[in-house]
Amino acid sequence: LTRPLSLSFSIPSERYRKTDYNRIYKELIDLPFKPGYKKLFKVKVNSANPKDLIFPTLYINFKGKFYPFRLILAGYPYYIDGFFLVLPLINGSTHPHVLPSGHMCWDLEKDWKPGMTLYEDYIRFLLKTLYKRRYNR
Amino acid sequence: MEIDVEELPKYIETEPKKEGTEKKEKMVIRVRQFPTQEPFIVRIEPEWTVKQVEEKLAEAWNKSLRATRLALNGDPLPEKARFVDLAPQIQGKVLDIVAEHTVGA
Repeated sequence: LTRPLSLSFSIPSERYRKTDYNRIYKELIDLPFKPGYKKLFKVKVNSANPKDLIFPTLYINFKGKFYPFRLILAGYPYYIDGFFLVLPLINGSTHPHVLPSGHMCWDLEKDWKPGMTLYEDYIRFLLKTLYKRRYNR
Repeated sequence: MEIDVEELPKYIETEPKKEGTEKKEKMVIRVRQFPTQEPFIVRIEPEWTVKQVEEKLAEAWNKSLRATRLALNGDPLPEKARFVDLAPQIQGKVLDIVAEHTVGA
């Protein structure tokens, strides 16, 4: 019932230069203390190496199944981006808020401010939007 | 192999340490920017002063230092106080971020 995506993306080198690796590490290790960790979401990285910390996989629980969501934290906290590696579907058809590219149909990434945080602003909004039934695209 | 971020500190700490640079025990404070917000957990060195932590938070959140004063029950913490000394008062409490009052200061 899920469609695996094969996606490629390129990131401007300027984003890497702006990346605050220390803050990313701190926010990542705080996630297990947030409400819903392991039940609603969990986050995994390939290694503790900074180059892997900027591409963590966020697993989002949607209707009892965890869907992998690739977070792109290059340039964080100035930029944030992410997309589903496997599209969540509803009754076998496309989710109303997930685009065929795996991106959510929101503008949060465009309006992102460095004062926003991964859990409080991004993950919570992602969960909320995913469970919204109303189509808005 | 994927590592759950829960296990991440273990992997960082198992990296070889240089002599004399062993990590000291960190202190945990809970901070929120707005009363309705879920508090952040911030790990700090116990000997850091209130001002040092405020500077780090202001930098991390891209805020001005004047808008980043740590307060307990509405009262700003003394800037020069070290967290190791404040521990008994702030233990288990949530610190608020308040703006510095410039009028009448």
